[in-house]
Amino acid sequence: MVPLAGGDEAEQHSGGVSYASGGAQVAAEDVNLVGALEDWSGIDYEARMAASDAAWDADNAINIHGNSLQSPRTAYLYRLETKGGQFLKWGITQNMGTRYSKAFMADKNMIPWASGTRANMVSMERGLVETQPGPLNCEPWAGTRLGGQP
Amino acid sequence: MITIGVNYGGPEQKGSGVYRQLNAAMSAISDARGPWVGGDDFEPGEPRPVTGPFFEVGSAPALNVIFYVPGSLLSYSDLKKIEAARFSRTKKLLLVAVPVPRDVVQAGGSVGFVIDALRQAVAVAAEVFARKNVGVFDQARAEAIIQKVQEALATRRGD
Repeated sequence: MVPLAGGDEAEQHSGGVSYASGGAQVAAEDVNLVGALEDWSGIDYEARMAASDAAWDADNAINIHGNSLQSPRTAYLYRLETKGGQFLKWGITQNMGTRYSKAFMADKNMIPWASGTRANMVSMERGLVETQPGPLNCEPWAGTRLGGQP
Repeated sequence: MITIGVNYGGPEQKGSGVYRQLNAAMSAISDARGPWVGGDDFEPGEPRPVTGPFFEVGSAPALNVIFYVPGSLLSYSDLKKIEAARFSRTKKLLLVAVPVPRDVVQAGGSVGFVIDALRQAVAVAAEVFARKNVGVFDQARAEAIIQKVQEALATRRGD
């Protein structure tokens, strides 16, 4: 089992939304770098597999895909920027450590904006993409309510 | 070759001291290195830059240093030290994770920490690329870029 990320700040998923000022809500699975290793032999195989398994246990136990709105894993709404601070897009991930490929993260900042259930994050992202889209938000609804309330 | 990226732990860090410092480091590296072709500066099928230096992912061993900055939403507490985290043989690319201590975050960044972290990451990369036998990581070029970063960060001190 992976150590619980966040130390004293961490809480188990409770189904709500955590904002920056509202306290941390971090499950161990969500910062699981070890489980995302591609080809790194410095990590013990069993530890890697155990970490990877733990990350998906919550979904698999009830047969729910990680991208499903019903997924119980904590999701993060994030903001992607260039090195100059230029906003690129809003997105959602369940693992801030592995959302982007190695090449893509070059010269990029990834900033978590909120955390909570995937359903809540999808709802928040939809509002933000409709009202404040980035150039890489290519969803059909991007900018449909430009300048409105998210 | 070398590049950096940053994963923050919360929205409060946008515009913070550590954010500005790491952005400055990122810009200094980018200026010294040129565009990172094969990332999203230039897609593989696009024409290459005609002037100035650039780096094409996969052409030589390269290092992507990702700084993990703890914050209100994510603490990245499972990262204890600077270490290799992901490796791609086809892209000849190694990701080295650098956990940023909370005291550095609270101090608004530290030039010494950033430079030392980059040098440690380069040492890790040299060892990993040698062990995996995918070519020689150009430490001299990386060190020259780190010197540029150090100069850039030193001149912005006190701003």
